[in-house]
Amino acid sequence: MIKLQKILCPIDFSENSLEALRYAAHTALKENATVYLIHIVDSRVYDYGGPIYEPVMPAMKPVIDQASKDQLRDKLLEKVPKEIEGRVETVVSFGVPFVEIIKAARDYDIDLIIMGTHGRSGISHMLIGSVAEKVVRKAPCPVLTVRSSVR
Amino acid sequence: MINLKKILCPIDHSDGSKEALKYAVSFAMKNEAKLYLLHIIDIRSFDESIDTMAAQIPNDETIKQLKTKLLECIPEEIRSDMQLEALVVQGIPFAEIISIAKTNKVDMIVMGTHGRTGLAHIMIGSVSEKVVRKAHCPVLTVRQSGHKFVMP
Repeated sequence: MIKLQKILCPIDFSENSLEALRYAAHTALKENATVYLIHIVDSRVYDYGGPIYEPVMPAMKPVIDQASKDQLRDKLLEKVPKEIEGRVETVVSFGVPFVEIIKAARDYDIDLIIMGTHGRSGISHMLIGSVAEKVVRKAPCPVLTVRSSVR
Repeated sequence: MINLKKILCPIDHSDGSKEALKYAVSFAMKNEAKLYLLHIIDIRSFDESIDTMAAQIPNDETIKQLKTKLLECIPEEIRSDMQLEALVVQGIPFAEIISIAKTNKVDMIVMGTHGRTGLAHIMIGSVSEKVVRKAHCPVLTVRQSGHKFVMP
């Protein structure tokens, strides 16, 4: 029998990612697993108030400070369904979403990723449409992709 | 509330699909769900000429054998504890997976990321990608152990 101890659920606060979280909660209860919620601040669209066209250097250090990280963590925790409170870890990282998801899956030794097929859309998040596809192709573990029921 | 009462697992008897089946069985048992095992006979492998096509359309006997083979993928000791149904259809794999998921109102599809390869099956590599994109329900994709992605 397959044992799932750690489930990773990327959250971008879109309806679709919250639907994925419901599946993560359901599975975590069945498996007695821990859910790792990860929110990624996309380094490609992050506007830190500087010149808009400043090139993003590969060596660029994370520009989110501890305070906004904590804020994002709190925001993640707000979304946690009651039944899995206490078995949740939160991660906030900065980078390219699909890369960070795969990195987190490896770093935390994740057994299953559960994520939405469509994340946020709109001008500031235009690039993020195909994250799920890339994760499916490259993740070190199985991936459950969830479509939100309205689609 | 999440309801996982029907799970579909397409099987092409590759190692990838067998790995996926382990997850399908595990999810089915923990959720007390019915498990549909689906084998698709790819019609595109049979289109060389009218003659070979006619020769290769499976008869009832073959279909029965294929169904038995599907059920035999489940370890004997748990076979009777599970609600199973074997399905064998002809068509284009990704399209059949999606339509059978829909007609049977399946709650989740579990499948391998890499199916069979080799000349007869060269087109089937991206089945799971199409299913992920088009299925009406959640899709669990399972990579065969050994297929590891190396971070660039």
